Amino acid sequence: MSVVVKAENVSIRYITGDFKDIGLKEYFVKKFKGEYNVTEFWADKDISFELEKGDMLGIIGTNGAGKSTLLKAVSGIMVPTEGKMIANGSIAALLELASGFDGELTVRENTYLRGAMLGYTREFMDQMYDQIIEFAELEDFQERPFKQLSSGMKSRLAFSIACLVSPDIIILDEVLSVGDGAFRKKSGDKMKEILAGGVTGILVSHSIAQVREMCNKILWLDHGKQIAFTDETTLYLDAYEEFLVTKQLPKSREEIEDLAKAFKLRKSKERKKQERTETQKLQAILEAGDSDAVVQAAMNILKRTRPDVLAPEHQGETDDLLARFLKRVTSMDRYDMSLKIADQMKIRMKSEKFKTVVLTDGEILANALSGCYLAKRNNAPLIFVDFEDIQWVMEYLYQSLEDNGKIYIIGEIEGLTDKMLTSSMNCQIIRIEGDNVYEINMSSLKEIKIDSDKILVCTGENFADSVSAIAIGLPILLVKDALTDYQIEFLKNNNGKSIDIIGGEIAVNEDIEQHLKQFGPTKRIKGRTRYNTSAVIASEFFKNPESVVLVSGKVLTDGFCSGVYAAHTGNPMLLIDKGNNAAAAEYVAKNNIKSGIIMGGESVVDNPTVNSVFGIEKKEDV
Amino acid sequence: MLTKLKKHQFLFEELVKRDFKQKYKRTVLGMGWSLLSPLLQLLVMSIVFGQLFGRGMEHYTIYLFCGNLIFAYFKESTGTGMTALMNNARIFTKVNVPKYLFLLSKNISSLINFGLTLCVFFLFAAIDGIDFGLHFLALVFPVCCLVIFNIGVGLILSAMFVFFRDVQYLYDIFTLLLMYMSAIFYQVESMAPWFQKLIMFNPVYCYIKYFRIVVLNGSIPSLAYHCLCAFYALAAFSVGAFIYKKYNHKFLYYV
Repeated sequence: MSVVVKAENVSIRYITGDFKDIGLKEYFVKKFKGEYNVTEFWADKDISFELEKGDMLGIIGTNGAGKSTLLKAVSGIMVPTEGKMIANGSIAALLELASGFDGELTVRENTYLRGAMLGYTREFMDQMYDQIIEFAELEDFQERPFKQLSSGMKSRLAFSIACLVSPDIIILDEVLSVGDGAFRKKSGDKMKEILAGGVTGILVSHSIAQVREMCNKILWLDHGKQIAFTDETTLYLDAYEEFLVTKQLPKSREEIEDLAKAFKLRKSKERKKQERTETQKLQAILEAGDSDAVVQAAMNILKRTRPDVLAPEHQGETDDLLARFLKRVTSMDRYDMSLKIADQMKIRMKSEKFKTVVLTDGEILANALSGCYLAKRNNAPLIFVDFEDIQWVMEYLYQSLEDNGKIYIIGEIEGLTDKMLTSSMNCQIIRIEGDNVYEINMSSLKEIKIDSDKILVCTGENFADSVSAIAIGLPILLVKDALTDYQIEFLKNNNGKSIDIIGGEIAVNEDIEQHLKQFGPTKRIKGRTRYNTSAVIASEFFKNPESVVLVSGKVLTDGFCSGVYAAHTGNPMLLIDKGNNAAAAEYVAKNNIKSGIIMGGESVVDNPTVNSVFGIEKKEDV
Repeated sequence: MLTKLKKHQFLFEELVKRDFKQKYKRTVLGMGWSLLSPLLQLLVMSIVFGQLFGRGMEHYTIYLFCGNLIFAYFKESTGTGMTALMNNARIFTKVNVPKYLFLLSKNISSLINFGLTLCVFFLFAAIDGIDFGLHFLALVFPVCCLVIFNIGVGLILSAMFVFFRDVQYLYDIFTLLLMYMSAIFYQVESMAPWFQKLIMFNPVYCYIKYFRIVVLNGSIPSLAYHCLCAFYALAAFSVGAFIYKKYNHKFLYYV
């Protein structure tokens, strides 16, 4: 690709205080006093960048960074004091929309004048004149003196004239932020159209959203110095937005990444807080309200989650019968889901508080897997902790953990210290630790005496198959490519127990299978897909199920806490998804299951999918 | 440079149009002033100086008119040219256009005015009984020289004006001096010899003299004289062009 714009160590200097600036008298006075001092102000120092055809460069920086000066250098209005600026191709620079207009002349005359300044020919202007006036919506003002137009109209006209250009290089200095909302949209759309045509562009804008949308390269300037020139736009823009808040200029690549991370953190915190306050507000409104709309809303929610509570008018046919026995648990995210499932467990256990809880980082799913057996043995819920909002979990624990209850913490949870927990409630903290997920898994297996005859072996690298195994309620050993020494020792100590491998040869390879055979009877349980696997596991381990736990196979994370719930209730868990229900439907039909609990809202596990699992063709009228 | 001019032809035309419209905005007579103004000047001068200096000279009005005509063109051209760059600062700091175009457009406007006045001049000459002939074609030469000379001086002045605003005051004095040194309303022959030599250093006077030789004397000046006129024009233009080339990129720091 050819280079279209190239800046090599461009520096631009302003001189103040020299003879021409201050005049004769001042000059002599200063010379006499010895104060005569010519100051150099470097608007830009050592700026280098290169643009290829089709690139769109976004120049960002606080005010006074030297952005507009640099643009002038690119468009040829200024010549760099040092360095070289090369631009191959025709340039259209929109540095100030209203420049070049004469207030006394009419709109028509000004249009032609401005067009001439931008380098068009008379014939071109004649052709395009009507189009220009039309785009600017100034048909009625053509013969009026320019100074009688409102500023919005002036901007529209200027933009309209300028955007007819088809240059090789286009330079925009904050021109897309003028005008009212409608005009901004219009100009934005038009600009996108122009840019789609393979033009190379340079954009200066204080609207970071605009820069994110349009630019593929970033030049960050600060007080004339170049902070960065890069094509990693998202990273650097995040860092820049954080910089705007903290005002700390990053000096290295690391600091950039830190800034970007801090920014993402802040944004998601704000977003989550907003979401939660929204939900809380709505709930409060609902509870406080007594108007018809509120009642209707409540009815709709009940229809969706607890149809069995509603009036007899919803009884009747088989599908509605089933609807009455199907419960749905919805949530905002995996953290919320883990707490909601914990609430379900409370209902099941007929208790307001737990004796034990198991906490794990919501991002490290292998640890969740390790925590499941501990949860089952202690009748504890598995709770995901969001390191960005630890307060939330703390509050829940405060309300739901018995006095002097046990808290298992699997692995590291960023931002959660023992002190935080012990200072707000009376509890015992047991940490299951290790250098990596496999060691943590080992620690979890050593924590409690295994009272079953069987051990499950799953891969620690992905969870499509293993999540269904959680419902079995047996200890799970996580493996990778080969058995580690610790694992071999563990298996020796548990010699004689049967071993079931969950997953295919890619998940747990044949070498491990052979090795495991040394310690006890080994068999492999697998399915063609994760949906099949969950049905196979259900068939294998749950011979007389009362009900079933349904969870989305696509959004796997809910499956962990759901699996713990399933293990607690002694029911199987089935993964379902649109078009992948054959195995689950077969299992349900074979065992004549009539009730279940759906973990996930309608957007995750929709009604038709649920119906198809239970063999209902009709569409439910929810 | 001519190819560049071609490229910016449209802009150039639009600038000239703009200058004209601006000049006579809100005036009742509008363009009429281009004609009326020099004529009124002529009238005043002939009344005031006619008795003093014009006694005994045939075609004194024409003599006067020649001087006025040329000098007015010089003054208008350089006067408007001087501020041309500054006045258009808002444009060339934001849009990339060659700066000399602004000066040239002012020159062309003045030239058009000059052209109109020239027509009236010929009319007067005809009325006054001057013999027209082929030798009038020679007048093209001083006009061309004058155009180039004016552009040159305009270049110098407008550049200096950007850097030193004082120039405008100096310019006022300078043109006053020049006017008295151009023998517009008096006859050179009646002055001392050293003065007669000195006055030849005034390029504007040289052009006025050329005109008078052709129109009043009915003859064409010598080759040497042609060279002198051309020399002044080219010298002014070269200096002006040099200054522009050298300081072109510094202008926008000082506007």
